[in-house]
Amino acid sequence: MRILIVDDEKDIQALFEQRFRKEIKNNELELAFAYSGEEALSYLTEKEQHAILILSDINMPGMSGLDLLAKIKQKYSQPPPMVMMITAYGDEENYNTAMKLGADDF
Amino acid sequence: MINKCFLVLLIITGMWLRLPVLGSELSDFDFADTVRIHQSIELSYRFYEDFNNDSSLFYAADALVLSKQLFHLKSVESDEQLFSRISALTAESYVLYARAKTEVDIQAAEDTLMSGLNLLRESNISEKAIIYSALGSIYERKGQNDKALRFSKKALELYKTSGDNKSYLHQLINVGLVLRVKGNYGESLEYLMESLKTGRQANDSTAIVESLLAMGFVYAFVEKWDDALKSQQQALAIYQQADDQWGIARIHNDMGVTYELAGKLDSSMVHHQAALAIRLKFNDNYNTFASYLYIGDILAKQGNIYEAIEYYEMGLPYGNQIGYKIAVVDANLRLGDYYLQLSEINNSMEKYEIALQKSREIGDLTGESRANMGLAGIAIINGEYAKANEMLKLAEKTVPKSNLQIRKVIYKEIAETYFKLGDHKNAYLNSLIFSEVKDSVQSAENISKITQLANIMEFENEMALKKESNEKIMAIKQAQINRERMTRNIFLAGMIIAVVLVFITFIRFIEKKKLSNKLNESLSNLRAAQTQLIQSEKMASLGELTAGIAHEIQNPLNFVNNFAEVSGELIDELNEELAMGTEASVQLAKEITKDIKQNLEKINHHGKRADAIVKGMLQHSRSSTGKKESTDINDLADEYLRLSYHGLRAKDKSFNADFKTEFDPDLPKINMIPQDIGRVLLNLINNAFYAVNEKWKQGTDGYKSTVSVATLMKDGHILIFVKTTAMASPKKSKTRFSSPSLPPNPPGRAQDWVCR
Repeated sequence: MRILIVDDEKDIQALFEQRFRKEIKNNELELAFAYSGEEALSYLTEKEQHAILILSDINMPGMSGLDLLAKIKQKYSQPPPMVMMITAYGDEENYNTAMKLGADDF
Repeated sequence: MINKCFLVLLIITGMWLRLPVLGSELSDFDFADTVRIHQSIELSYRFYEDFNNDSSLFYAADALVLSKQLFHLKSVESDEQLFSRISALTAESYVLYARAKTEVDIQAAEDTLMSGLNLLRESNISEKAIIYSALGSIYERKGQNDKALRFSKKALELYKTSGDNKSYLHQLINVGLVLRVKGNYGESLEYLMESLKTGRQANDSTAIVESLLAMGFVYAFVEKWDDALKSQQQALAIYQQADDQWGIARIHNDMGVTYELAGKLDSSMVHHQAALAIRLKFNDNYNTFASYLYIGDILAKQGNIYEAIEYYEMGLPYGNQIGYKIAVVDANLRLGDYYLQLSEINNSMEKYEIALQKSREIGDLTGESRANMGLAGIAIINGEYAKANEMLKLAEKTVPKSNLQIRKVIYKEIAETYFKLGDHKNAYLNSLIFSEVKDSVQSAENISKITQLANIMEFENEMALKKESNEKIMAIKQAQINRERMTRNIFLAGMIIAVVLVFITFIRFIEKKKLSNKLNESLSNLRAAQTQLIQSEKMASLGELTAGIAHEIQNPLNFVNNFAEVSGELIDELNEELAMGTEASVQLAKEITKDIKQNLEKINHHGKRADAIVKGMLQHSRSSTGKKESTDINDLADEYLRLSYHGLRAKDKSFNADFKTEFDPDLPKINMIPQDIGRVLLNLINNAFYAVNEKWKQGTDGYKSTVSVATLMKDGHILIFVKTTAMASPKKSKTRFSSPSLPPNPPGRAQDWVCR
């Protein structure tokens, strides 16, 4: 299972890699990282459909997580990857927008 | 008559004193020379006031040549008192010469004054001041208002240094007037209020009146009619007290203009008529002419063309008499227009012809082209299209390039006459030019309208702020006055009773003390309230930042927590591996400890990051100590860029933009007040984000909203650039980049603001 994590904080990579160190070692999980919405999209285009689950931050400079979510849901309709949003701005407006755009979890 | 006799007398004494000045070199100081300079200066003044410019110039030149020669004499230079007297005369001669020269050759007048500045020494402070002041008026006449302001302010400063209070006071008014011409109404009012206050303290009624009248039109230009009239009425009261009829007429004139601007033509008429009546009585030809024209204008605006013509015709002889030629040309042109409206072709033609001739005499190009246009209009009515066409072309040649309004009409009429003459090609060409000029006129009008509105709004803001702080000061002052009054009363009462009974005095004394304590207390309460107000204003701006800061802290804290948690798990794992004790597990254990170490570094890094943010916040909320600290501009810019971004993001969920930094790594640290400069940067960057977000909202395809902040060391200056991918901001806003939002801008290239 491959997970794509999108966040503009680079240290997030070290954190995830250590947290899931066992799973990675046992080849249960494969992690990929992107530091912006643009990067995430180009990753998805190159390695189509490889990511089953996408974790994305909302608040990023440039393309925001919500933009990315909308683009993913539009482009990869069959079968769509799961997209979960992670963010510090867990307010209702963001939640509703994300759900409307088809986020699978928040 | 008396004036004339005096002039003749002065001239004769001047001749008797010592004639051949030009060309001859003076070898030594002679007292008669200073007398002669005085005479020439006096004559130059009088001729100038009499509108006799040539003679004024002649005597000013005489005074100037002589005083300059004295200025360089060794015997004068060595005598301090004498030198200062001669310097004053020289400066005055320069100013008089330039004033008269301005009417004929403004450039020469400017050059003369500049050479005067070079001649004077460092110690000639008040002399330099009057020359700066004169240069200020020349630039104002040339329409170079920025320069005019700079020189007027320089003069003001020098007058202050020299301690010449009277000149300082009058220069305050001059600066106020220049600011008014520039459209900086708020600042203008500030200077004029200062001059009014100082004038009242010095009991200088001229200054009081001039300040009031200047303020009157500032108010009128920002459409505060009541305040304008109030100032003018105060000035009126002063003139009435002195029974100065000339002054009373002047105020009626100003009030008439104010009412006219306000669109109250009937009231305007009453005041202009009152001014006219006084001016006629006192043979004030110059102003009588002006009054007639004003009344004519109002009558025309009221649609009363016949009477308007009547007043213009009555006024013209006065204009001819005083030789105010530009105004005479204008009056003739208007008469031509009015007669044409009434279809009195012959009368109209006559007036246009006069205007044409006079405008040519004095080189008034605008007047000349307007006269030609008028004549062309008559030719069109008479069906003489070829003649009309010719005159219009003449008009086109003379009209100044910048006068778009007139050019517009000319091209339109040229096109029409070509059409009538059957020359369709030229008709078409000229109609093309017409529509081009029309567009320029419209955009010029729009710009001036917007500028006017912006000026008014700025004025309102400034006044609102001032009113608030004034009220606070007033409250404190009132409390002080009350306290003083009370103390005095109580003290007096105590004295009287002391005579009667020492015993009661004692009680009174205690009472007094109590009361004064109470008053002191209320005063300090008031002061505390004031400081609190200032602090609360600061807190409001802090509030805007808090949201941004909260997010900025949240991220590093998350990292600290998560890395700590993961490290705990890693240690468990490490223990497991160590327990196994195989070679492979020791290898793994080594890897784990490496990770743990890395994690601890990360925790430290993010902890420091949060620490820095909290420190920055504390610095912002602390009252600015005004103390300069050695500051890294790059750090400061980076910090405020992030604060701005997150602050806006927290406020507006739809906000979206990218940011970049390009910092010059070799910047030296600078001594500055970081909070203050930070606030400037914050406003600037906020504006930039606001602008790119606006553009982004318009939804252009492929548009990337980016704000970049760059620093650069160049020629001993540190440049800070804030670049946006949004629209260009007009030059004007450069000076006001701290205002919360930008005016609507035309789309354009990326815009840099540079602060040094």
